Amino acid sequence: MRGILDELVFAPASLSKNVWDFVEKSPALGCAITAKGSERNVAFELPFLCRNLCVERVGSDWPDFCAAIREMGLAIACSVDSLEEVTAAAVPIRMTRLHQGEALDAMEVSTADLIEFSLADSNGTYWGLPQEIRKVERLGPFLDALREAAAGNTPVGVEIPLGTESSDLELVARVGPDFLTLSYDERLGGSEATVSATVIAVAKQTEELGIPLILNLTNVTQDDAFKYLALGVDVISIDHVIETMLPEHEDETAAYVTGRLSSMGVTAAPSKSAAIEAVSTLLESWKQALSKQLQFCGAASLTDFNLDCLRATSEKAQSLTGAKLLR
Amino acid sequence: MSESESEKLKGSQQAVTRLDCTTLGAREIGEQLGSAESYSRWELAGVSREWSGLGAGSEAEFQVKITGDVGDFAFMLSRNAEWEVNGKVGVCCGHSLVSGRVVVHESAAECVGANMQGGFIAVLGTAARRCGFRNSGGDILIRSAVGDEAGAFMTQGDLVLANGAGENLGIGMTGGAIYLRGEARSVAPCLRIERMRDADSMRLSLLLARAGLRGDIKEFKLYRPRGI
Repeated sequence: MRGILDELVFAPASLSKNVWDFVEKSPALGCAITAKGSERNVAFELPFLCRNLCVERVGSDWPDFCAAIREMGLAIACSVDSLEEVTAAAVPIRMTRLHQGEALDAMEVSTADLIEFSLADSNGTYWGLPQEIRKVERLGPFLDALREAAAGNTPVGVEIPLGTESSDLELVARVGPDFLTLSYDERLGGSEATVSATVIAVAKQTEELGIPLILNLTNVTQDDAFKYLALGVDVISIDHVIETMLPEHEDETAAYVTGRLSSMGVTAAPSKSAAIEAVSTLLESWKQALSKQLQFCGAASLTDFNLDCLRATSEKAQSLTGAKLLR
Repeated sequence: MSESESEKLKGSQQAVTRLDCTTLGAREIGEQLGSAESYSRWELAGVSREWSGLGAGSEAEFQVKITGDVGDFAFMLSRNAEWEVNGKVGVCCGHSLVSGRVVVHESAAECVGANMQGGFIAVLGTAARRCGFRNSGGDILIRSAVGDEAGAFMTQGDLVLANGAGENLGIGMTGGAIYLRGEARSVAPCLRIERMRDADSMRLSLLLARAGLRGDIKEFKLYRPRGI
């Protein structure tokens, strides 16, 4: 039982709309995040993010993995050092994650496309404002300074845990981050139903506050992800889905055939591993599915893909989400 | 004369660029300074206390004199530049400073030099609580009184306090050194007084000289965390 999400269904396009518009044209699946006071948009071709997969997890396929992510127009969260071996043409939109309680890294800040300042420490032990900031009202000047340190045109967001009080969320949103990231922390507890209800409440609040929301859960199905998008989430982290395509654990020594004896078939070195092919196929399937979903609902773009595209099958779901009741 | 020395000499002979910030926004000033040439000299007047992050992320090796009070998080992540403020600075001045020098002629609010990684900050007036908080490699000098918990959670770098300290000096400190003239209201149990060796005396003299101060180094006590 996944709770409220199970009580929502997608509504087909209204008969009053000219459906042929949506059949002939592919819907626009991109979204953008803008830095405060700047006209520069960081444009995502797909509303998905690879946020938690690191070079150590992907292994020797990392450059190809980055190329696949870039080709599909996803963003990735990684360090600038990890992109050293990746050719410039294969570097995707890069988010850098900074944690409270640590000195800021000048190189990370000046080269990132997006900056996420996490209110968690790097070990994920505790959440809260950095000790040197202490007060929420100082978070705004801090974010402004961080934006300034990144030449003024890089969006700077704040990561908060799922379950944050709505009053706290509003306080953080009001200090002026360019986006919010809502992350699941297993210490939150609760069932899947509780998690989805909490996400829905936050998405509703951030939409009212006019601030883009990035969602970082540990497990989201494709159907749920699309429903979250319609409910007001702007970008969803889909690492858990991508990770299923990667080998369990890559032995670095086995990954490269270089270094073995020449008689062992150096020609066997794959240019692109099957895992990366599978990742590309998976992302393409998500792209196609999202496109079809928007066409089904008669939405020309993600902006049109909103609450009007959902119907609640229960009064509880209706009251929580604001979607119309299915009649 | 080396190439860099001749560049510096050329810079010192350059005319000073004066900016009246009352007609400019914070971003415009950031852009102007961002495009500044190495070794150029600037003077900023009319800076607003409301602007956060003045000079944040600047990389050029230039000199900037600022007249008036500066807002919060000034000079965050600054590298190479020399900043001189004839006024007060807001909270977290020099946050994560990488290198270069900051001289503040009046007082500094909380957490001056927080998370500093390198460089030098001199505050010639007072500094509020937690100066040098989590300093991991920079040098800080405070000429007048400081608030409580100075040097809290420092891991590296030097903190010179020329006029006493408040409560809990050096709380949570695991590395670095505190040179104190006068008395602290209380010292964290993790600190111990060490005998000042020649190298420490030279280091202290150098830091005082960098701030343009004179003083008898024998008046200072040296504190370091226990066990290092």
